[in-house]
Amino acid sequence: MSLADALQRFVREHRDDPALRVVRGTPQADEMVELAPASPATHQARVVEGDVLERKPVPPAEGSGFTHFLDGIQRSRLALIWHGVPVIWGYAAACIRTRGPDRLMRLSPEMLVWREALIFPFSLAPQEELTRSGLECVDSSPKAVIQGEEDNPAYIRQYSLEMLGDIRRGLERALLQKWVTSGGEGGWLLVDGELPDSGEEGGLRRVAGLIKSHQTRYFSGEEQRRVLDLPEGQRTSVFQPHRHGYRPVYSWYLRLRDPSGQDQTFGLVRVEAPADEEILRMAGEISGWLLAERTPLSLPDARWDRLIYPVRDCEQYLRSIARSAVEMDARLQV
Amino acid sequence: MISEREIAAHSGTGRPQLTQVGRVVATEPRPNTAYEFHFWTGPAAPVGIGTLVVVLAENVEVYGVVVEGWSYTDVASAMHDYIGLDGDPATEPVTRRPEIRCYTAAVLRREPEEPVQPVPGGPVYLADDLHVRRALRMDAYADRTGVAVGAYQNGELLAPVYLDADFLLGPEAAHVTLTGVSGLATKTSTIEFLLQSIFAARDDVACVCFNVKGHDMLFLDFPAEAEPGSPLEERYRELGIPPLTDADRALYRLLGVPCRAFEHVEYYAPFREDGINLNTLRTNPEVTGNVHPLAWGLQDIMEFTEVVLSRDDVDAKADALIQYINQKVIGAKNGYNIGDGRAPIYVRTFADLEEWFRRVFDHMESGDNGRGMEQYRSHHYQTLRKVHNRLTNLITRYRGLLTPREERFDLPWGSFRPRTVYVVDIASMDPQGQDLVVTRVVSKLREYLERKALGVDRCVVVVDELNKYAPSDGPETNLRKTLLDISERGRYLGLVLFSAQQFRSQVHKRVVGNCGTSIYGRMDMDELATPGYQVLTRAEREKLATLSKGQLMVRHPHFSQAIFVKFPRPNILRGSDGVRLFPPADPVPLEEAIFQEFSRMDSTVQRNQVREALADADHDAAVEAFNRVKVLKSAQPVSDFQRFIRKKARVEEPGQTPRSFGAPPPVDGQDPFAD
Repeated sequence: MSLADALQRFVREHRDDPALRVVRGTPQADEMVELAPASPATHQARVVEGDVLERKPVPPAEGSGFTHFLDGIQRSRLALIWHGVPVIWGYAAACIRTRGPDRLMRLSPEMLVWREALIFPFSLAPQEELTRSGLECVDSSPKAVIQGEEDNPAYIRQYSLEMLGDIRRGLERALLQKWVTSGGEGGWLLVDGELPDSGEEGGLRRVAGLIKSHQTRYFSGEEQRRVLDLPEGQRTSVFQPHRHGYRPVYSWYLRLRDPSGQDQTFGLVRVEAPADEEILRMAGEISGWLLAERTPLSLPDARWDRLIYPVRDCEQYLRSIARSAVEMDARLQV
Repeated sequence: MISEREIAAHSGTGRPQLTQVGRVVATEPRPNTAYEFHFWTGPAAPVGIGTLVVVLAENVEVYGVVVEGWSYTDVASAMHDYIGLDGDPATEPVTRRPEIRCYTAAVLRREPEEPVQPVPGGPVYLADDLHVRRALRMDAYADRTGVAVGAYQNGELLAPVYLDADFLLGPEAAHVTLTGVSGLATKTSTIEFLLQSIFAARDDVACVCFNVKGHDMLFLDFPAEAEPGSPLEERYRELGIPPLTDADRALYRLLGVPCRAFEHVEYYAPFREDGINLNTLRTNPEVTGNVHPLAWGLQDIMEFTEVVLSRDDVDAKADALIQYINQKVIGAKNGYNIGDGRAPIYVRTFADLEEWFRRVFDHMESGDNGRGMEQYRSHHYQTLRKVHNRLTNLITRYRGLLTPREERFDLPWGSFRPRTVYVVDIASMDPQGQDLVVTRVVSKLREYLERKALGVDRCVVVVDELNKYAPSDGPETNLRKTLLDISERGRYLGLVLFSAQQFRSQVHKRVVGNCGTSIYGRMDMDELATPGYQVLTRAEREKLATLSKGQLMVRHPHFSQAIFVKFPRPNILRGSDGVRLFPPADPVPLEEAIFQEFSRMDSTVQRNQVREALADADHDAAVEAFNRVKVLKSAQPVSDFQRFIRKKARVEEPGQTPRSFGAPPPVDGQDPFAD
């Protein structure tokens, strides 16, 4: 029985339970809407390609060497008030899509994972009755880090959503692990976002991450200006960001599109790749691949200047198979 | 519902051999209904407009025909694509956008029939032979009353499509209307193949074709390709007459129709003005054996005076006189007593009628003690003069078709043979003459079928250019009334109208509305833009405008939707090839015409015999005698011809008195010149 089926049955069986209040008609949020941008931060970085951070023109590439693309989505809505505690219905999924010789995108075999759960702090509301009814529940208490605010309903929602984000990242990491283990079919994988920590020394090969948001800066002053004024089709020198507790990666900035008349970050992406010599040699080539990925456009997505089409394809695929708001609304009707 | 056993028997494997090509999809803006559903396919799926599909859902099977298709990608605006490729259409993006192919199918049938619910989601399969049969409800009649009209094709699948004879030839429904642009031979070919198919399935049907254009239907008895080893084989090859293809022969086999020309065809054509040669393109001596004259006398057309006389001419007075002549004068058993003190006059021919008028006028002009009579039996002198003028003028107006004499040539009323095509060639006649011929032939068919005396139970009447004979607007003509009558009552009588036209929209709506079966070849876009075609989807209309030769769209009472089929090129010599193979002969003089005709009757006839028989003979008398010999189908044509010549020349023979104009007919009423 799926979680939706179990939830529907639970709601019907507990319609007279004063501890339960069903919340209907709340908007269902996708990743874009619900995730508050991370707080601005500055991290240290060390230039590993040369001595200073420089701009480098990217040699034109005939095509793209990326053959596989990994992305995940999450959906959530406030579903229940259980013993006075907001309970979030959360759905997360991730997949790897393959671009075949015909240049069409398809799901890689067995490269789809998803998870659906009710998320709330177990410390504030009992989960036993829910789990007995077949409902998978996830405790969001560990994400509550602000002392004294743990039972603030607004904060409960926030940290429960952060827990859902962890779930999504876990799925993405699991898929990446699976892809690495399988040998990756001899292709290159592009991951949407930062490279997760694979947990395997030397395991991440032929993988790159594409970061579209720039809440974290690694350079300041003149170097920061070089990054933000990077012309279209150029990249920076490779640097190694400091990631506390994570395996080291190499990174560089790349301007995908002409930012004239636009925000400083228009078309600006940061690339991450495993920290090894091969990547250092291939930074220009990988940048060329990403420039080739500019077509087709990802419009009408608002992030079209930085979102490459195959990553959007992954999102579209995952959204098409995710449970719809209409269905959830219907199931929560008593 | 098709049982597993049925499918197993059909496929021989125990499992349905259906190819899944798609999946039903319903969205809020484009929901499925009980009569229409949508499905998507992969880009390589062999699905197109007209494809028959079947949805196998849990509790219901739904058969549909694809009536619309569309495809799209995930690009929201063409501008996005343009910008993405920097305005260079030659740029190939590294990733292809997915392209979805969606189709709308109109429901043909559902099992079980009730309850009528929206089509459920489920896999969509291409219909195979068995499912085509079920989809078109042919399982109910194909083995009993099926008449093959063509084959439904999808890739390598060719499934026969049958019409129901009860709805094609009556009595449940009847008539076929066939529409298509000119010049592709689709209409003629379709009618030829459909007739072949009917003759293959039924042995109680004959056909009357009106050849209204050139040589279209003048070689129905010759195959499209000569039999190997036949004398014509080399000539076919020399002229480059294209043979049938293997695919055509295969289609014939599939449809169970013998791949051969019509075995029994008789041609009828009026005379030219000379009264000797026939006014047709089938005059090559090699092929005139089954070509017969069509010549009618006074009594044949008197009941059609409203056809042959201008409506403006025939006022109430004239009409009264014509009726009087028709009822009291013509064919009066004991002759007509004019009252002039002379013997009664017997009026059977135009010549007799002329004599009757002459005596009446003499009587009136000398009557009333020489002062002259104003009226004759309540008919005014001027009316008599007017009617005399109009009736006797008919011989001139319809020269070649109407004969002033007694010899007449007509279709074999009462002895029609099944599986025989009677072609009436009126292509060279003026519109008035065509009207008269079609009206009279159809009227006679109706008359004989009502009496069940035609010789066959059913007769198909083929009329080309129906928009000319039964137009949706214009004056009410007798011919249009006749065609309307056939379309409305014909199915009860066994009189079936197969009509062809370029513009169905210009045919009278009652004729079109009464046609149970409608067939369409390639259509003109202007015609498709008329309101009558709005029931078709745009895709169907587009397809109709681009149909290739041999492809048709068929609507039939058993088919809930229009079906596209293909039919073989008929194994019948095209008219254009026919006139190259058998070039029309120039009109021949009387002597040559007589020799040719008599030689066919008696192979021992010598040319000098004919020349001697003609010596010193009056030309008109010789023509009349010649025609009498033809009517008699004499075994001794020359001697009979000589005898008739002598009689006409008033050469008295012992014990015989020739009949003059107005003289009483012989007692037996058959041949006044018989010995």
